[in-house]
Amino acid sequence: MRSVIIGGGHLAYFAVTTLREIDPKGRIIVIEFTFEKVEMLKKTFPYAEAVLSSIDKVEGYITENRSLIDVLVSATDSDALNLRYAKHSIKNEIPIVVAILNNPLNEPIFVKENIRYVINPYKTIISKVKEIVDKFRANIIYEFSRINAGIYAFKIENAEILRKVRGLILKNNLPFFIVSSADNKIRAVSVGDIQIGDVVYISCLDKDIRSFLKRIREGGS
Amino acid sequence: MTPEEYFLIIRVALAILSIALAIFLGSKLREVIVKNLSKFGHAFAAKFAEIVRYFLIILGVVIAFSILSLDVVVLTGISIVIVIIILISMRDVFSNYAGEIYLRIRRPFDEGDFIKIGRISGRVISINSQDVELVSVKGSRVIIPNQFFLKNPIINRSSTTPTSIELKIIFREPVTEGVEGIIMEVLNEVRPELFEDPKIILINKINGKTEVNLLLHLVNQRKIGWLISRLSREFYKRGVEIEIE
Repeated sequence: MRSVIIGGGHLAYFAVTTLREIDPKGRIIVIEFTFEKVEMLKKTFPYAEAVLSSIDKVEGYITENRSLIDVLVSATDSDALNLRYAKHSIKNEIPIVVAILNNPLNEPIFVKENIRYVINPYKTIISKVKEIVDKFRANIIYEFSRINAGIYAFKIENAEILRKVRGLILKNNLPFFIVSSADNKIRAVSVGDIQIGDVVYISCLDKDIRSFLKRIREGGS
Repeated sequence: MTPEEYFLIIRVALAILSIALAIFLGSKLREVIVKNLSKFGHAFAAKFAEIVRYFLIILGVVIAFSILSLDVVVLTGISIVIVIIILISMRDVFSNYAGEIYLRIRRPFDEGDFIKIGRISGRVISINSQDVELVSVKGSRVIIPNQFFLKNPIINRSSTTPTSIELKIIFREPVTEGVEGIIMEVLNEVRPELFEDPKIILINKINGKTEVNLLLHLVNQRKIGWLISRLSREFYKRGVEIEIE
């Protein structure tokens, strides 16, 4: 698989190592704009090809190699450049185009421009803090990129939430497991075993969960 | 004013009223349809609403003619003939619209998906009112009329990305031994461009010719043209001439 990563910063580091892990025999090309970074990339990723290019020549490279590039990851330090390269890649029908955000507030702009795969590296901060501090009602643990589904956690604070969560699981026949409040151990038992104080992890389609999450957050019925 | 003149005025008024009512209802219905069908795409909803509006206006005109007591039988006959002629002459257009309705409601694929319809495979670029535009594996743009999707099974391969492609390599000259070794050597050269390790499915020797079936996994289907020429070149470098199907 031929992967092209634009940018040689810390975002690109994770992209390169992951792509290498996915396809160890694949071809990885990193495009960077500064000579010093290219030299450093050659040492950091001996299995990858580090290419020096000017900012304005990247689009030409994408167009030239459009029939050979399988995955393009736009991971420069500038969201404006990431958007520009991602848009150009989609226009050139690159099968998988991924943009990695520097500023999470820019996510709607990418979505509006039909960039299907946008990685917001900061997204987990909210769910992690909630999980660590253990003070939440509903928490989005993970949302999948290829399908509209996710893993959601509900803290059973009172009888009302217990009733709602049980209803949601039974109505949609959802897979779930419980983390017990007493010993922080996982229990995968029946809906009837969920108790107040437990945290219930549910995996389901986001269309099933959206209104439910809203009701839980607002405390409605 | 004679009773005949009086009745004529009433009939004219009623005829105008029926046309006005048809125009009014058509406009209202257009708004309702656009609002309710916009989830299938605004352009599609607007087009469908426009068709319904014109249908209502034509209906209003026919009713108006009937009220005016023109020869109804003749008028109806003429209307039916006109409608039949329109339907026959535009049957492909209507059929394509029907195809679009099917594609919008059933959603067998979306833009960006890789599909196979009939003998054509490619990535969907756009879904339009009359056709669907694909980019084939060889990179050519293919326009498929929407009616084609009503008559042929559709295979949506997007969920199985990367796509598996089967290639048949035919050795032009008899190869005595080591076929597998040569093939693996050549495949190793192109491996960095593939998603997974390629597999030899079958080695067949017929009438002195050796045929080898390979299974390759590609993310970018347009790479196949490049891949075929690269394989041919690599075999040629090793003194082996092949054909690829």
